[in-house]
Amino acid sequence: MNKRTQLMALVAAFFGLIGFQTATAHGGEDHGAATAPTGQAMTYFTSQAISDKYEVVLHYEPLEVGEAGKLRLYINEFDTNRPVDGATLQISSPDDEKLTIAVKPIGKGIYELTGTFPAKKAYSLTISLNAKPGADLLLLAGIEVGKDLPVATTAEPTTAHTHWYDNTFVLLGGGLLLGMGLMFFLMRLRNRRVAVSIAVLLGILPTANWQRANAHGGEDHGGGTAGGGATSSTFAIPKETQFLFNILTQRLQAGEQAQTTTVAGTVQPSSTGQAVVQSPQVGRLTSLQVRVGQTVSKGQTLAVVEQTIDAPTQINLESERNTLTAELQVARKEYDRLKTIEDIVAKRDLTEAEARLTRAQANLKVFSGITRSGGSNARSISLKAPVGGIVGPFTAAIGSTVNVGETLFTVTNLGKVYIEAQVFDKDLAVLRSAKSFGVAGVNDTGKSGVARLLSQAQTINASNQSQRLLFEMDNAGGAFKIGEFVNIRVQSARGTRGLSVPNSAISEMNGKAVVFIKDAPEVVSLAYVTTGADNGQFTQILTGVEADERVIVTGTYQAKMIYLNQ
Amino acid sequence: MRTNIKTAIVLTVAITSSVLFTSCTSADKAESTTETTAINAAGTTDADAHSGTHTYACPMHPEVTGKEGDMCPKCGMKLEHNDNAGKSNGKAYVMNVKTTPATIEAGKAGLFSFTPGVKDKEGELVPLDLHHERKIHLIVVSKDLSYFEHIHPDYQASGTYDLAVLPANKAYTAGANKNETHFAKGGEYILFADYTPTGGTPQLEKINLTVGGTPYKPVTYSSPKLSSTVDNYTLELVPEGNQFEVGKLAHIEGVLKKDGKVMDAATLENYLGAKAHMVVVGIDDKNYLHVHPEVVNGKFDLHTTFEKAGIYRGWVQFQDGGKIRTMDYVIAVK
Repeated sequence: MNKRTQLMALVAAFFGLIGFQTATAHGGEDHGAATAPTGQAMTYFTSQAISDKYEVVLHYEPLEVGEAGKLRLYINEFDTNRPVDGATLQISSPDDEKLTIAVKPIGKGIYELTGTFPAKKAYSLTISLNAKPGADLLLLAGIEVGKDLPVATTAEPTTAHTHWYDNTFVLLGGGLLLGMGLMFFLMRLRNRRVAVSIAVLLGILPTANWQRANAHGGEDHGGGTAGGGATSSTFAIPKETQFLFNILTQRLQAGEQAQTTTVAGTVQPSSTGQAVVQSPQVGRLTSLQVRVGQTVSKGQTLAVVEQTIDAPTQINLESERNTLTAELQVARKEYDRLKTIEDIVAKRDLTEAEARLTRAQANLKVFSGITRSGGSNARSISLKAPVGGIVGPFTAAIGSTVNVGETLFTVTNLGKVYIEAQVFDKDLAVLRSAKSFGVAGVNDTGKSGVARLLSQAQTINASNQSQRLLFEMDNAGGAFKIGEFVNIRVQSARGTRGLSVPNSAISEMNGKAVVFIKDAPEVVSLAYVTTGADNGQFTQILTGVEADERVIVTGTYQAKMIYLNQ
Repeated sequence: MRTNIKTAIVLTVAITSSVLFTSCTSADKAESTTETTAINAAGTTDADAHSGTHTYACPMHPEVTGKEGDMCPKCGMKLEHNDNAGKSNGKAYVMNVKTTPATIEAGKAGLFSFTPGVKDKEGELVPLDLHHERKIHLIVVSKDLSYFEHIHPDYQASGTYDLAVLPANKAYTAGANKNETHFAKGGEYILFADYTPTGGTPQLEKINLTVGGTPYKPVTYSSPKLSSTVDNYTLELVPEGNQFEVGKLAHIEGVLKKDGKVMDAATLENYLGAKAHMVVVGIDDKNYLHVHPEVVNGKFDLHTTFEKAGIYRGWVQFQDGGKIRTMDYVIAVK
């Protein structure tokens, strides 16, 4: 073996050594049910039980044998995570029939249990509870009595994780020995240049930044893990924190999500919804039979106007009457005369006289009809409501004179109103396949109604290129007023089936949509999701979650903060 | 002078190489310490769990154990991690049934009250675990296996799991397959109560029931029926090798069709936490088997082992469009 090969072998051996990866990747472990958040010393023990109705979590500090111990019981609904208040609890132990546990509610969904455990062992507690969601029977197992909290493990790593390469002194000594041995060989090399370059290279090498990949993932965390390292998507939220931040969940179920859109509109009176009452002629208001705001029915008399006639008109009328009466008398006499000599007069003359008489009679009748009072100088006109509705404000007072065409009353019927909406092209697709139109007030979202589409637009608004649609809405209670701004929620008949979550459930992490899923009573995991259609209230989830998972819908922000701070 | 330089170089290299080694491993140490802080309910550290090998057992048949990824030959369920598998808690459980009136009459109202208890320990309350979203699964079959119902008694404040028997003229309050039943005809019936006490092993109680009134006319099954149609759904069972053999793990493919077209079984709604449930009962021995099909490539994949030859009745239930459908089958095992 010549010197060069000897040198190459040496260098290769050295690099082989430093290239040795300390593979301590953490994965595949099953952590079982854990109780303390990662990196923190445990301050209490936990026991938990779930059913289809409830989640029950018990927190307790170390219990001493034979001494009264206090335990804290958290009860919430399984699907919603809502704290259960006012539950009737009966607690017994299958391990000790004599064991009595007193229950005291101390907060919303929080109960304090007090009892004395006589022996040093793990107890089970049978919780018989009855509250609003129903009765249930659960078992809290593994309640340790006479056991201390495990020491915070950050201080002393367990032997399972201790390796020779973890010991600094061993490494330091080993490295020193290795380096000296290496140099011993280098010194013996004849070629000084090679020796020096190797020495310099070794001097530079340590300055390189050696990053080791710490894989962490794929763990089966079992029923209640408190989360692994910072890279894990699973993290713990203690029950008291959940209650404090009002973290609520919803169970995912496949359902139909209809396509919807919202358009803005304005309430207008319907074609029969508003009417005005005007005086047909000049007169004096002699009687007022309604008040402002009164509900009137169609045909009801609102007021009476008395027609007033001045003296010249009166004279004219009287002379006209006399003329007409005289004409009638003349016509009748002429007719009677001709009738007696019927045999000798021309048939044409008789017919003419008959027609004259008929005309005179008709004229007088018409005149009398108009001036019904028959000689008196006044007549009354009743003003009637043309539609049923509410009488709007008016200023007419009894005794005041009204002119022809003057508007005296406005009667508005809010039982049926029109809504005019401006719709843009993008919403038209949903509108065409619309199944229902829900109406809600813009300022007062408490009121709602259902509208029907009356007419499609014939023209397009030139200024903003919107189409004007007219809707009709029943408004029996009169909740919506004329001129009010409303939102019309258009729901399409075409829906897509799938999982959807309330928009409040979705948050964003590293630019991706995420939801938080409650895996166990105190364990939440982060799930990256791909989202589909958003109808303003719900967003469809295409991938990332599965049916029956419980997604956090309230307190999402708090969950995200806890995740980021873990 | 040369010796001095030599010594200096020797020291430099020695120190740098040792520093290199120590710096490489310090990060690992921090990592490994954080991993040991998770502590389970019993107070044992993770190290305990890491040191031993894990046991995986069937959630329904705890006597079936194996390694991760294995499948239960009885019901086709994936084995789940369970270090307590096979370790009985030493309690013998019994399901007490009380009916009101003492004899249920066909077409008349009545009530079943189920109370799980521990043998020889009267009065001990037995909380039950949820399995498949319910605490008790009650399968009601007529003795000839022509009638089938899968229902769930509800826990009451009185401490019993109750199930109402409706009179003939009364409809289900919240639809079929819930917590109500009715008996149109009298005769012999069998109830299978499937439950798991918390901390115990899964239990199956077989209860014989005689219902008063005009008895049903027994049906005898001899020829196989492997295709069943309900509403516009058809589900056909195709066994591997086209026959069912005794003692062999049977792979059965279930092809679901809706309106004559093949439908992706994965698009079905979850019913009690699974895409479908299958119950198999032997005609001769009335042995009960609950099988959970997996969905593979849009088709159901059922695995089970028939231990005896003979005729079996099978029922598959699944939910779509919010409605549960029950398909019935006759399986001949040779």
